[in-house]
Amino acid sequence: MYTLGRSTENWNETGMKRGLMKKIAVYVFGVILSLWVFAPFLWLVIMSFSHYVDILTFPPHWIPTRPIIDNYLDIFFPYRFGTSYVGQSVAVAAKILPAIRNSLLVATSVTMFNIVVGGVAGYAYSRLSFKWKWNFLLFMLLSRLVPAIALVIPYFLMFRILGLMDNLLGLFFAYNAFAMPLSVWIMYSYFDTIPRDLDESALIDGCTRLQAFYKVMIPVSTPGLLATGIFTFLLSWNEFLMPLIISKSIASATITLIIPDFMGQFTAAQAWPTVAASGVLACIPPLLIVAFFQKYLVSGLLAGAVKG
Amino acid sequence: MRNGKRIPKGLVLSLPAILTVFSVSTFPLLFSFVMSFYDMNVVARRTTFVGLGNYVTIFSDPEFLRSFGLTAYYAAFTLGAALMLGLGYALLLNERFLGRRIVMTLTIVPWSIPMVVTGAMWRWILHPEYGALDGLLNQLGLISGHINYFPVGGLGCLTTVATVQVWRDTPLACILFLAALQAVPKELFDASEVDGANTFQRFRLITLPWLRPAFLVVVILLTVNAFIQYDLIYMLTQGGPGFDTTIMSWQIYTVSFRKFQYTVGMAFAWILAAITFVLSYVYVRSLYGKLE
Repeated sequence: MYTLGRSTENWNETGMKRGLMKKIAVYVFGVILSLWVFAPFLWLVIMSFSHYVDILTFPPHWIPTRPIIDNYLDIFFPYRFGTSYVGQSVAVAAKILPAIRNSLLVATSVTMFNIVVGGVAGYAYSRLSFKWKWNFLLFMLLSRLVPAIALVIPYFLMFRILGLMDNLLGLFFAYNAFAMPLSVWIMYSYFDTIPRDLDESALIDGCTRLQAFYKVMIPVSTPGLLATGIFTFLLSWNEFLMPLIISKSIASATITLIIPDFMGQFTAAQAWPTVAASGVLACIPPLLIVAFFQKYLVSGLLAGAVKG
Repeated sequence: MRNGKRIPKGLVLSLPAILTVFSVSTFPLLFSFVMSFYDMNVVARRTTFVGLGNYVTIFSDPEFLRSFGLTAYYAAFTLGAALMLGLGYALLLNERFLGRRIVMTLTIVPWSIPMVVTGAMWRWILHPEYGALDGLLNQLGLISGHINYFPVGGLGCLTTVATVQVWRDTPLACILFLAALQAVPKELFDASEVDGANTFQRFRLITLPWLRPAFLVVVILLTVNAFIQYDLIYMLTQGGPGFDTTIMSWQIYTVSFRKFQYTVGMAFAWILAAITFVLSYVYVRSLYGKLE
């Protein structure tokens, strides 16, 4: 009895020790990995609130000696020192707000279009059976992996004829190439998780297909629609190669296009903090999505990648 | 009678999506396939049929073979590193600890922000004069002076770009692994503990086999990501120094939009597309096998 008791005690002690060691290891690795993942972004944010004097020293000042918001003011009020002071930096900074507007316009319209068209198609693939259904689904799946670089060259040649060059409508069409297959696939996987009895009982109760769709399916499929919308918005907002080829002027330039432009225009490093500020602004929509819709983002990612 | 002749409702409902994808993706792709057999003289505005000429040009060009090799290296490096980091990270996030939710949210940040911002950010961090990383390493006393992250010649420069890609792709791998880990039935672990399996055995015999489908997904997604990578090369090196970081996508871009050999570019892009198609075919076959 005694030995047994002691051995159990020992076991518990080592078990607890092991638990503690494990806990410490988890926290240490947690801190290291979080730093590796988040520190670069944190530095971008710090840069955007720094005077260039703090950045252009070595080693740089991790905490700005005099934090400023001038870099953001340069973007929001580019002509605040009067129009007579129009340096190159002002000229580019003045493009940032219109570019953000362009990005928002395109991303929002692509998102709306995808929620409606992708949602309806996803419902059809999940609930109805028709000829070549699996072939169409396979077609969507393969279309998802068409590299953008393989599309922009034909776009470049075709859009000139169609008048879609340097046009937000051209970007709208182009973005659908990667957004639509994904939207259909996410919606299809989502509808497939909803029990069939739900809409079938609605059909039995005398609803038409259409009524069953918008009266029964739409309300329960909000998470799927959110995942589709969020994913489409994020991909559209972040897209760079397509605007690089299609957009020529501020009429259709997106924020992702202005940032490299901004970096290239300046050989002088004095403008870095302003570029950093525009980078932070470009990250705000993705960060809001991550902060508030993380769950849907992850579920969209899983539906797009693993769910069959 | 009427029903028999009607177009199936499912086809009608999915037609807008099919037509959209066909017109913005499939049709341009087919167009570029046809055009890849032509030579287009932009100056003389003349298009002549050259058969496989563009493909012969590409395959007899040492630049192409080099860009293919560099792409393969880029993919292998990102894949290896992001797989290990992603798995480690997922195992960590699968534990219970204080602040787990915040860490998880932060994890997704690198993957969610625009890649041009990622590129700009890392260009500053790795800057030869004012680089933040060098500054930090100096303050920690690990180095004195500067490290050249963009060396000329060899694979050094491409490795730097690939490391940034790893930074961006690790969250993706982590999320996919984590989802798979959370699906492992707890009973399996409890049973194995009763049977006296240690941590390592449990990892090898339960966790790893359970993660196999997720592994496959991550491998394919990361490989395709690496093969079509363009933004980071544009932001960090523009294919240089020399041709050190000229991976396939960058080669396609320069051939098309700097040398204006659009049809060669399209042929090249088709080779890249074919590679991603083969990869996605493997993906489809192993995961969506039931879609026959």
